[in-house]
Amino acid sequence: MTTNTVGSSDVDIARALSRRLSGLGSGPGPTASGAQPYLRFTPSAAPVPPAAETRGEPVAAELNDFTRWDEFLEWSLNTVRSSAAFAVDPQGFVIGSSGNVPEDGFEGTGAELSYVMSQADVMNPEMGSLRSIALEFANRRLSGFRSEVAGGEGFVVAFIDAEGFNKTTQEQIARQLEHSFSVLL
Amino acid sequence: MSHRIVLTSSKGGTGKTTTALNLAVALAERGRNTIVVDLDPQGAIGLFLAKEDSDWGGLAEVMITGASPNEVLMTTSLPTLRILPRGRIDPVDTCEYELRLHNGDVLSNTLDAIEEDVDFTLIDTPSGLGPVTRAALAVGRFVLLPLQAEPVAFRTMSQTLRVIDHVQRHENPSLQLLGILPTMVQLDSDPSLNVMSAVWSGFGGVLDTVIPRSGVFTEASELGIPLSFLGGRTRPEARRFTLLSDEIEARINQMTGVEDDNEHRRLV
Repeated sequence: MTTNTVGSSDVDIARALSRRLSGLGSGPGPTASGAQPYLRFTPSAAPVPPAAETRGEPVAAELNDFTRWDEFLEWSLNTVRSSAAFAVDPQGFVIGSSGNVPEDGFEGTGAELSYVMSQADVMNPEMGSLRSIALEFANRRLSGFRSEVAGGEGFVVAFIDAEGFNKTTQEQIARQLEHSFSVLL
Repeated sequence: MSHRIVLTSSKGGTGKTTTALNLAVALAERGRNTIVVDLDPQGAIGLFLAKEDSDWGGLAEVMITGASPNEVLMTTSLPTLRILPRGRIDPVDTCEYELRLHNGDVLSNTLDAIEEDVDFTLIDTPSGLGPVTRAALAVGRFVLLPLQAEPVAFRTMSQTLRVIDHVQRHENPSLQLLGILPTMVQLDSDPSLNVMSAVWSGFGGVLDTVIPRSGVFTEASELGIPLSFLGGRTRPEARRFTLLSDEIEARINQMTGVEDDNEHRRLV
């Protein structure tokens, strides 16, 4: 193979990986050296936890009997594969959080998010009220959705750097919230 | 317990579907109970067999209507070969299909349900390293990597191997590289020969069997049949898949610690 057809680094990586994966190489391979030239979406570039912990539950999964907000939020953040999750009540107060919670909590973020969503509600009355929001900041992604429970009160469930935040996971979490809401403390 | 083999490569057109189908036929013709699972949202297996896009129910019916996996498993003219098609999914819903496949346990549950008394499950994936490929790798035991013997495909190898390595390290420790299968090999062409030289010198897991570039694949795909089903004399390319099935079975036995029961013989 001439050197101008394939980057030698790529070939070296491929060769080392093929040897490791086929049981011929004894070393950890180039990916374990920390010298990978790739960027990662995960904030800390830390290894993704095992599949069973990170991949969402099936859409038709049975509902869980959570009794505490932190249990519900921990399950939610695993479902959307985010680094942190928090819930905001209809008055804009954070009522629970889970995951990588900053030192000063999510109180400020929650209140602002609640305000932003209420502003978006009146953007165009024909569109109806805002259901979900996904904001991309320079350092973090903030996404969340509003779920009407307990007679129409809108609780917001929000996530930091969620990888799997989509309509399916939103519906799944909303169903779980509806199911657990009356007993959550 | 069925040996689940995921056929994957990040580049398209490397021969994943052709290999999946012809290898499955070769295994089935050896008497091994074999299932081909079509995870490609385009329904590549069905298209290969000249079926209309909405001819067959399959995985989509399991996911959307709750159909039983065994209900949608297709029988073939070979009693030992069955196909789990993609199903009648609207192309518009491809994103939803991919996400549900990746985020849920539907694939694992479906395979568990259909694999009773099955020796080999060949999982055909779409090109690329997206959610469907990741879902397949998460439930697979072995990976077969078809490598089109030309420079662009060769350049993508490190991407595919990196993902396999990642899944093995963090999601599915039982996953093993079964082998790199050179396809569309054309040793009278310098670029193809260069790639093969590079692969044969230092890469691990390269299979002895290679699949040559040949017009007979187009002939078979035009008729919508596997190579060994072509009329007339048996094509040498079809024999390659017989060799491949033999090599793969032997390699799996070696990797899983199963002893071959052949004994030394005496000629005279």
